[in-house]
Amino acid sequence: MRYWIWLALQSAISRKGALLIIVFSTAISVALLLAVLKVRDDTKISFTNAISGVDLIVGSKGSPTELILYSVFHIGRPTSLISGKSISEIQKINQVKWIVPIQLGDTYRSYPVVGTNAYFFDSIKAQNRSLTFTTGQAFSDQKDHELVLGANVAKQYKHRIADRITLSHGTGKGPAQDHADSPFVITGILAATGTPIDNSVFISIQSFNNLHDGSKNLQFAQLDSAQYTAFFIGLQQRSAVFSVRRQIDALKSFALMAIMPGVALDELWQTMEIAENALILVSLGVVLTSIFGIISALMVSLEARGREIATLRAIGARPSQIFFFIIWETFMISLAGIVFGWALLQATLLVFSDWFMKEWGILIQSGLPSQNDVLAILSILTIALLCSTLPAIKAYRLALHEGLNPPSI
Amino acid sequence: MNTLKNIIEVKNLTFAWPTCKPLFNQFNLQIERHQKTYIAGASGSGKSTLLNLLAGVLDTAQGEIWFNNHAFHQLSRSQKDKIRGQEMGFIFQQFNLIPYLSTLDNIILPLNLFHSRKKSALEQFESTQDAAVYLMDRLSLPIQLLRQPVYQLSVGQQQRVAAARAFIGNPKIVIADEPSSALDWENQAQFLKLFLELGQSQNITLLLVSHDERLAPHFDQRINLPNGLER
Repeated sequence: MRYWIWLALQSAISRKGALLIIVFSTAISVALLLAVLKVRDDTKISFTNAISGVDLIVGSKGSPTELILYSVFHIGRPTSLISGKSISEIQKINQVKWIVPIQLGDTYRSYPVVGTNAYFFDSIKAQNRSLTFTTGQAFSDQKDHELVLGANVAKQYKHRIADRITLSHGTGKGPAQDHADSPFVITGILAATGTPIDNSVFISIQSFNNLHDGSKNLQFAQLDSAQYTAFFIGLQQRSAVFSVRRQIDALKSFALMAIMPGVALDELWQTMEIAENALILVSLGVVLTSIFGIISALMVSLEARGREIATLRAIGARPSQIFFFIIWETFMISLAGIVFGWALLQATLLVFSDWFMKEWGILIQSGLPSQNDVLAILSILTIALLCSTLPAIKAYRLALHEGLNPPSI
Repeated sequence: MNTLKNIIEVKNLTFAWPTCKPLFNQFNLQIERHQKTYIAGASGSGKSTLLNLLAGVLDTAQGEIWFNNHAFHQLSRSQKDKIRGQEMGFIFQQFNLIPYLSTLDNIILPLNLFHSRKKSALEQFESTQDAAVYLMDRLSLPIQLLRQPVYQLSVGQQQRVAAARAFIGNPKIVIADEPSSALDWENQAQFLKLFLELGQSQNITLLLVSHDERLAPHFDQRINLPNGLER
């Protein structure tokens, strides 16, 4: 056995040029396949982690999916708003640690404006990471006309700290909809997160209400009188989430609904099954293409070994030894290709991870292969080995047929 | 059944390739141990077929082929493969050296594939390399070639490497197939002399198949293939 391993190695070294090309093409196929699988997994993770650090989202009674869509993705609008008076009721519930109110409706050049408080930037996580500012800081809840930009908004209009900008009422499409009388000053720009936060403009609740009431110096006590789109709620202990949800749902006078964002996002992702199926189809296609590529390369390399195998046969090598001789090379090449391909992908991700995040908003990170990756790799290896048994048998038969005088090259 | 006197005994062999008339019809052949046998036949006379039958590469359809007390007509292919590797040495027409191995590794290839041949070589020599060096010396191959890849050797040198590979580890018989075709007459005569001497000194039965009648006088026995002149 050891002699055959040595012999196979000598044989491979003598054909190293051709084999390196096969290893390289295998590596590319494997890298491509793992990349597709990774994008598929990480897209889902990016989506379902669009908001985290929030235990419950509260909105007016209705569809949980709609609540997620308008409060987190800023798509659509609620059928009714929730009264500010409910804040004090919710605060009375044990275990509620903090409440971050959300107000929506205005836009800045088609980007949604989110009215909230400065605590938003401390408590909300995107992709399981805390929010950070690339420059500047959060607005002050006490001051009017300050705002924070999401990464994409700032990038698109090349805004910088201290720039003054004007917001629009509603979608900003109609005439005379600008709040031109009250320009805002940029106090901070958020780092990219790969979530809807990147496409949002944040102002304080006070500023939001001032824009619409025309009154000045609204104090926190008066926030009760305002109306809100949703509340993000954090708890002392996550385990209390079901009990708190029940208590919020039970607040009769307000018709509220509390949902767990993780569960709702997962449900929402399920509705995009078609997109996920398409990705699965693409990855299957990539798997098949890479396997066929590897096999055809192996077949070509085996064709070239006919005489060598015939010689070993003529000298008296057993079929099992010839078989091992051929399969071993396939195994080595496939393994080298897989390891090289994986390394290639990791290196690429390491270098381009930030760029993917900025340009595509998908957090793709290098790391150990997932269960799916391992399955895909093992199936490539198995199919390559199975397929090389065919040429191995063919090579053996050919050697027999040509007897002791295989044709010269 | 068979006699220990004969290393090869063919009885009533009938063989035909599909859709051809029989190459051998009730063919008989005896080769004595330690004899030098010359098999004559023009191309197409069935020389290669006979060699493949004697080597156990082709299956015997009708009749019996005995090699060193093994009934080839009854054995499976892999059993015949094993016997061929352990007890026969072949010098092929095309030499069939492994191009990426050195001279040494080509010569000792059978020792690495078959334990019995390695054992036999190590009874005589300190190491497999010593066994190879001895044969290279006997075949007038310069020792400097030991570590050289065989594809760098001349045709004449390659033939001697093939011969050394056939003789190493004391096979029962060494069979040479058309050793003359690749060389000029002078080199042929030289090679034949070394080949015969080596067989004699090692007590190995020699079998040479050729169409070159000039080689015939150096052998103990001459066998003409039955339909050598037909076709």
